Amino acid sequence: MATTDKNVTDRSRMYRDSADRKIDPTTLSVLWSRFDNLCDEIGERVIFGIQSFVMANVRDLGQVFLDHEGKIVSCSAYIPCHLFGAKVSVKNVIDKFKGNFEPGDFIMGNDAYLVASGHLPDWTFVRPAFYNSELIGFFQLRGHQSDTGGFFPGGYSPGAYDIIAEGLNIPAFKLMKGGKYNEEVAELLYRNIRNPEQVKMDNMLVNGACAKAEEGLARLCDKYGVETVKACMQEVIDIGERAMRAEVAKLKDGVYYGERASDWDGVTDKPVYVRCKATVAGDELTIDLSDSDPQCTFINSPLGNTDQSVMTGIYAIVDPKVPKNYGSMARNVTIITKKGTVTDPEYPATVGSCAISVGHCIFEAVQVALNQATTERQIGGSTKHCCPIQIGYDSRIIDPRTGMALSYWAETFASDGSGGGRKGFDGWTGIGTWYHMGSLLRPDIEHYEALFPFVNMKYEILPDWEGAGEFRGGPGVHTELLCRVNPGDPAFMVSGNSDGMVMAPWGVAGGQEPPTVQMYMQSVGEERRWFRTMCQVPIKSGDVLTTYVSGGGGYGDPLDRDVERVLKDVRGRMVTLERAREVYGVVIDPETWTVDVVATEKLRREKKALKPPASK
Amino acid sequence: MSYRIGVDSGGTFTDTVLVDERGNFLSAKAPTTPDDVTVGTMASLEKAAKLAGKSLREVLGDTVTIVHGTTQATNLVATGRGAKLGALFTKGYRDRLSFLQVAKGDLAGEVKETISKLFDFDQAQPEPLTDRWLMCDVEERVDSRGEVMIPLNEDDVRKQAEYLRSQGVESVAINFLWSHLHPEHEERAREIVQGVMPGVSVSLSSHVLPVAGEVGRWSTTLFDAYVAPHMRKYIDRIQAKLNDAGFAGQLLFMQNNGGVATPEVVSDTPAQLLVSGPAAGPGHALILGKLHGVDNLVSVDMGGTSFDAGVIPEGEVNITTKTIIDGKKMSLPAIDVRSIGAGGGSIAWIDLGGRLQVGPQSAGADPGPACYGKGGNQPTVTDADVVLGYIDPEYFLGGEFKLRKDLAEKAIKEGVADALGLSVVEAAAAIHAVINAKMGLNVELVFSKRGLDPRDFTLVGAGGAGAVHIAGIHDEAGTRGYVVPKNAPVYCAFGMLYADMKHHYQRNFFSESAKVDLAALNAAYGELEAKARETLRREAVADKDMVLEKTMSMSYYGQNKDLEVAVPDGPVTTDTFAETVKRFHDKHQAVLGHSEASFPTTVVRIAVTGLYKTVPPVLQKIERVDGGPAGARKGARNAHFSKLGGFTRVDVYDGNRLRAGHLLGGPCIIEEPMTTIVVPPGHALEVDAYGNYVQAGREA
Repeated sequence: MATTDKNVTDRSRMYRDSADRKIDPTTLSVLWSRFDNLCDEIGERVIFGIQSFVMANVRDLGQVFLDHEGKIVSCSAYIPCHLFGAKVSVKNVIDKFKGNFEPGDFIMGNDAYLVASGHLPDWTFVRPAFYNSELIGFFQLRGHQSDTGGFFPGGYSPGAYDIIAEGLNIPAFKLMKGGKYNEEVAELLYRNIRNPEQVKMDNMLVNGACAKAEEGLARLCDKYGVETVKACMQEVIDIGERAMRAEVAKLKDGVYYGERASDWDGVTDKPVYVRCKATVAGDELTIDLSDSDPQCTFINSPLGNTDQSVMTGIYAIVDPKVPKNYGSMARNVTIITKKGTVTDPEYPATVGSCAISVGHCIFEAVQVALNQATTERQIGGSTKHCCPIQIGYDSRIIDPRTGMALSYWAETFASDGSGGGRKGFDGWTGIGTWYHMGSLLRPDIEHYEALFPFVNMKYEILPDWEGAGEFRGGPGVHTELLCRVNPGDPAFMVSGNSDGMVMAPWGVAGGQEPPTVQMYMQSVGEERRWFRTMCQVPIKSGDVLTTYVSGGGGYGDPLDRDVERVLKDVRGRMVTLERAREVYGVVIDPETWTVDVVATEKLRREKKALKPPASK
Repeated sequence: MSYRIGVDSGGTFTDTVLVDERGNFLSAKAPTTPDDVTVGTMASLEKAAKLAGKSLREVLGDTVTIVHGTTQATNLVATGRGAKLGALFTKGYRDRLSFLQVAKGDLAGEVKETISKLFDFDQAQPEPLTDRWLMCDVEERVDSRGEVMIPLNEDDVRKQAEYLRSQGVESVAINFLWSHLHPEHEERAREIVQGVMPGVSVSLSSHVLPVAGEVGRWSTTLFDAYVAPHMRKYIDRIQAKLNDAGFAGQLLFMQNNGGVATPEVVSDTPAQLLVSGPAAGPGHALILGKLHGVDNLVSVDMGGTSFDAGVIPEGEVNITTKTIIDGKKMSLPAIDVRSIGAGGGSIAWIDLGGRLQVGPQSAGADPGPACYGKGGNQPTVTDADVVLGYIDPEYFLGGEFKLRKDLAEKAIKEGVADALGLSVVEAAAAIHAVINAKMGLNVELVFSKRGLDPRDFTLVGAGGAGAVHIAGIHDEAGTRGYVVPKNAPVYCAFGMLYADMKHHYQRNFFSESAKVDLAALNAAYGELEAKARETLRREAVADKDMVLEKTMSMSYYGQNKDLEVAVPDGPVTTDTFAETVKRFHDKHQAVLGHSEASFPTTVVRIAVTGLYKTVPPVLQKIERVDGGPAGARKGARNAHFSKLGGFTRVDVYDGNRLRAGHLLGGPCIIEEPMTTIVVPPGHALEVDAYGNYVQAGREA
């Protein structure tokens, strides 16, 4: 049994500790902000210059600053799956090189088992940061490349025979060694990538941005002294630990269970379950995923991805101000997995959709479990990512980078659903999965249509697809995508990045679930075909893909929802008149747009009387 | 006598600067009157006239130009008091702007949120500018080549217009996909809407901002439609009031882009006024820089609630198209000023990690800092400055207003000092240091984002609260030096007198550089130049006085964002095009840390800026004297400097009695009528020929 000091964040104690390191609070505040900022700047530069569609337009990347041993000091406000996994992946990189780094090194890798950060198209880049030839720390950027080799572009095609077929497996290697470009390995690498010139330039841009951050760190060392900078890095980590211990101590002690499922793995037709057992004991938290399903294909989650999914789930439950660093990740949080399960797969299992499917379920299962340990910070479930990808060639356009027909890998990011409700707040419209914490950006449709032979005909909110609640989930989303490819050019619709047909986002505290996802294809003069997740089908000009994606789960009893909010939802086409009456118990006159208060009170009383008393 | 007037109506005060043809100037402040801004504006002018010893009618009768800046459009949005707004969208897209327009971490604009904010669910999503039931759609569709897929359904437009009329809508935004390539559908829809709703204000996305990217274009158009009816009314009213008071000169409005425009032109697109508040700052810094032969400048302005910083590399004021207002995009070109919540009213607090934080919350003007004695009990930057002896409680705003030091001490003790285990003075010093660091970081960010080195730049400016902090900001940001203008408290009003007439015109022009058709490119530039000329002619500018500048936005093939570079003057030739491409490679290297000269590049967009360069006022020099400033000494008081280990007795000087050439070594304090300048130990200021304070001991 762990002893717990419930007052670990007592401020005078915090500053006594700071005093031991001889750091004054001002310097600490300043340097901490600068660490965050160095990470942000890498992201800003990369987003600006990168050719990868998803990195530039969707912000599918994340930057982390770590200490000389690979402990995370600071994370930027980007997609969590590219941040917290650095705890595992950068450690793997450091171990591989046994600490042998020199100024001007630039390391990259994507191997799902050696680097273990996640699926193959997300490449991990690490640049050691030196000051006067002393290793101070590392900058990590992870982001989704335009291509990663394999049997189809993009890394999201289900059905690969094994991880070798799924894409190029790159163990961590020095693309730049002491500032010198590693010509031979690079040639081998890029020869196996589609559009090599593009990916190569994107990679060098990351190096340039990380080098600028290294210069920034050196300026801080110049100004504040290298010992102060190093001491602040450790202090920040310790503050992370103290904050996380205080937050875990606020959770009710006990053992809690959460279970969530991904639709299927694209091969064996059954849902794939992640099971979480969360044990809260004082200020220690243990997340045990051992009871999850055995490994399958395509959606298995490598360890780094599992680790970050757990942490994203925990951070979503505790006070948001807990610093996201090694101290809050590794000192009072223990993560247990079992080899051979979907949360800890063995080579050569495929991992194409590890984050969106099993990773997302881990994040959810942790939240479902911990929702039971708190009454303050419960939140309704959000949708999983659901927005099919288009891949193919357009022979009408010659790509000057390759001299060949333009090869594309496209996604509108228009169809993503919404977030869950929470005490006091409705879920956010179309924010997509909370797994990404609102960090995915919806690109302009005009930008998408300018580049790819598709036209998005509908981009709407879908009425009645929200999880009802006193604070409802965000609404469902309805899109229609028209294919206008050049007849004869190969083109495919891929849903390997989509999930949510089997299990809907959950409601909490009496809130309801929204419906599950639906998609269908309509070809000219043919029957409508239902289109599943984890599929890949050829498409032709004139085909239309329709998606209905869930809203978020609700919080609280919908019969307690403020009637004015219900009225606004109905006028705003989020909820129909019928649903307002049936589910929210609100009677509205659509001629005058007023609420019939007497009828509403009566209806709500009747409906409440019919409900079984809430079980404790 | 002939006058020029700058009048800046801000959130709290309306500042007036009056300059005569000999270069003498005087300034006045009056409270802004939000219910009818014209009242405060006229009152401020009246006050200035009085200071000149004349009636307002006499002054206005002799005034050739009034440049007017107003935060009214900003306030309409901030307070939700714009027009009742309806909108028409392409079928299937009426909900497009209900989705997040930027990532959650970017909701605060260029000021990035920390990762903590991402995990904070206790916040409501930013809402569109109008109710969802007033956003309608009509059948029509154009594709990415500008070709019509589905013709405009005019019955649909009529039906929706009738619905919007029945809802009492005052202003309509028309937002169709690809309208920048095919404006005809929007234009026809406007005719129909105006037929159904006579007198209604209509804003077209293809006119407000004819560039690709529906979210920025449409959101900007909604902003335009939202503020247009009120702003047009305001423009007419202030013009009429000035005319009634005897003004027969030219009224000009300060725009987002740092340039000015006539009332007629600014009425076309009132969204040009949305973020014009801080836009005059950088232009002013540039003029001051020229006096001292410095062209790498950064303009700073610290007021009660916000701190603005804008960088001016090599004398070029930056323009951005990435403004975010309340989570929504405003993509018209605007002066690139980075604003953060840091000012005299910023509140100090302790976060969960035990960090001392200052801002972004502000005590505002009401209740204001604790020392105002108006019921505020949270410690602010001004409270710290009073406790530290920088601000004399008896001489705030020239003594117009007495401050309560005891309340400042109490607030700091209870809010910060006790929690950190520090004394009140130590806590005040920490607040002062943290806010300086925060502003310093904000300044540093404007450099690092652009690949610039702060050591090459000179800080210029201050604002009402800034002069106490400028030395600290300079130390934190690591800039080369700093200048505090004599007119620091009315920094922007003064800057307006230097603003040029300025209009941007842009359009898409996509071409691989290797395949560029120079004839087509020159024709496209010709079109934009004709538009710029036409506007300047409407403003009565003679053709010979027009300056037209060409720029080109370029990217590497496949890149999703672009960089804007200047195009050499004259028609674009093979040589000047090659030079432009080279400028792109160079800029890419400088800003992003990487470039590849052999990688294929593309032209994305082109733009023309039409300018009429104003003739700046020439200021009166002040007397130069030999010898020290002892004659201007008005007393001494205790002020706290950590470097000296605590409180030290320092000399206090009267700014109005200082003369050119006077050198003021720190530690000391200079009191101007509306602001206080703190010179810490190790710093020294020299008074220049115009009464400005220039950091001495190194070249500015």
